[in-house]
Amino acid sequence: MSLRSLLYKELRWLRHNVATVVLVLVVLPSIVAAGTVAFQQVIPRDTPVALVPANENVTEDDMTAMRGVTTFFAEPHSYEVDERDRAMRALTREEVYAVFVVPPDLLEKDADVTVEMYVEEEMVPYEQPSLAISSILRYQAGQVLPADVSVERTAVGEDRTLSEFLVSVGAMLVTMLFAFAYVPYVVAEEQQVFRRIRVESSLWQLLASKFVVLTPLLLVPVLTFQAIAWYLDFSVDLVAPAAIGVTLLTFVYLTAISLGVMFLTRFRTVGRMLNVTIMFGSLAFSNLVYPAGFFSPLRREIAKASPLHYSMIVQRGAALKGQGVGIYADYLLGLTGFTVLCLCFLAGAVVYYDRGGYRE
Amino acid sequence: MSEPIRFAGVSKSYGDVVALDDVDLELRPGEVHCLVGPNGSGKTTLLDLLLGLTRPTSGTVTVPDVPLGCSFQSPTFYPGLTVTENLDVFARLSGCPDDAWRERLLAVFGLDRVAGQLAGTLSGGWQKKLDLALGFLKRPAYLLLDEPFSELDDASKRRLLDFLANFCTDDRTVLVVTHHVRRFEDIVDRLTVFEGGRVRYDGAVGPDERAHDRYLDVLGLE
Repeated sequence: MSLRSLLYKELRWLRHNVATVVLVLVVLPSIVAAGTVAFQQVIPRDTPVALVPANENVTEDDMTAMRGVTTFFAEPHSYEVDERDRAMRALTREEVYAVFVVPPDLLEKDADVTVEMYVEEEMVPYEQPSLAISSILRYQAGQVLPADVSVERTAVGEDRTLSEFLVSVGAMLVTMLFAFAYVPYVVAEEQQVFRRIRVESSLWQLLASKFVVLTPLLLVPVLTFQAIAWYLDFSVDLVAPAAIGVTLLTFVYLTAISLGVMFLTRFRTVGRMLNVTIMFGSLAFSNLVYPAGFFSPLRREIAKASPLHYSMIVQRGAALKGQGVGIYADYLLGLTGFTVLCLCFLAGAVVYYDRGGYRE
Repeated sequence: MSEPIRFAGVSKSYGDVVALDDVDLELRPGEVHCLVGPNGSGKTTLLDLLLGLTRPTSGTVTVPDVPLGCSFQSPTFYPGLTVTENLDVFARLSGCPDDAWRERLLAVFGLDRVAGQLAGTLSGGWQKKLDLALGFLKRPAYLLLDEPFSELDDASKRRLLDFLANFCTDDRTVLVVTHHVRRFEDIVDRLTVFEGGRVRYDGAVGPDERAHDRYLDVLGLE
């Protein structure tokens, strides 16, 4: 009888927690299953690359031919002959992951031409694919173009190991974990004190105190990462002002989202599960490790719409490439705007929570 | 002497549920006012309105600009801080860090025995005492106590009543929200009986009257 009673209890529990159950057992699996659509290829075929004419002698037909060849393994973007610097800047900003300098006479039979290919040393996960791509380019060009095409691959920047690259990514992952798991837990723990806080102060003051204390506290794991990087003699500068700045900004907007979700769901379990879902979704689709365009064009477009993708680019630029904020000014402006939006969302969620009183 | 707290034509609804319906009530300075009524009669909603935790659907609540202290039905303190730290934090928040008064409260409620313990690890009775102590922290002109006796043992109830009797001077008002009006017979000046979100009775309790009998009489219980 006791088993039957407990089974009855479980059924009643399910009925009262239907939102959480549906989220965990239906919505989450649906998102994961549907999300697999964004993973279509193992070999990258949709990475954005730049095509720049080598000189004035390069014709539109040469560019069209090169575009046709590169379409086999990338998404080509054409630049003008005087835009080589802009293309290299796009490489640093991860708008493109390779720059091809297109020579003239590609359509001349037996002409001996060389395509220059530039990639970044610091973009470690693209190193081996870019070697494969240069071979594919040579092969494809040989198949379809009349000229005798060779490819000269040049890696610009400083040589970095995969470990060094991943230290930078790891710092961003810890920021996500802190924002989506730790902070909501800490605030939920204090939910019982909200009534008294509202009488003696306000929820706004409480949230302000959380941001003021927890945001600089994030520097501790960042410094820990840096200390280990120094110990392992890694060339990673996570404490560069731009890296720290974007990490803290990222923490603020992620925390605003996670706390907004908690207030909106009145600190129910469904809120925690939603935050976990958002965290894993951001992790899977923001291309923190792989360049945009890996796995599918859909995933590339999702990543390009994700603020976290730009946070990672700026942090990587500062920590691995030694870049200042200037080159990423528009990204930072966008991220600041997004942060303001997220704080507005949090404010709206708190007002909603407040107006509902404290009655379920 | 401070101004009274006034409820004028106050109604409060949560969706389709009417918690308070056209309530007129006055809490006069210097009185111990007992607010009684069955479960769901609107007592806690009235307290929430008074504290500004929720807004009336209609009507006005006028609260003078004087210190309000409150103890809630369920604990409202930081479970991850010690008893002393909680008193310290809320004393700072309310702008009255009076060390001597805090020590007095620790002694009155016997909290000095558990002063260094994390509040969240205390038993229900100790947690209630801490919440009560927080209510008294800023020597409020209006003290609002929601079920102050819940979780307390008899000796603690006696000590609280004695302390309340001394605390209530001419310029201090105490509003006690309770089911157990009998416990407050000796100190209550005014009784308000709520039922179904409406005031069924509101009047002074004379020296020879028994508030509990009046309560039962109003609700037709015997």
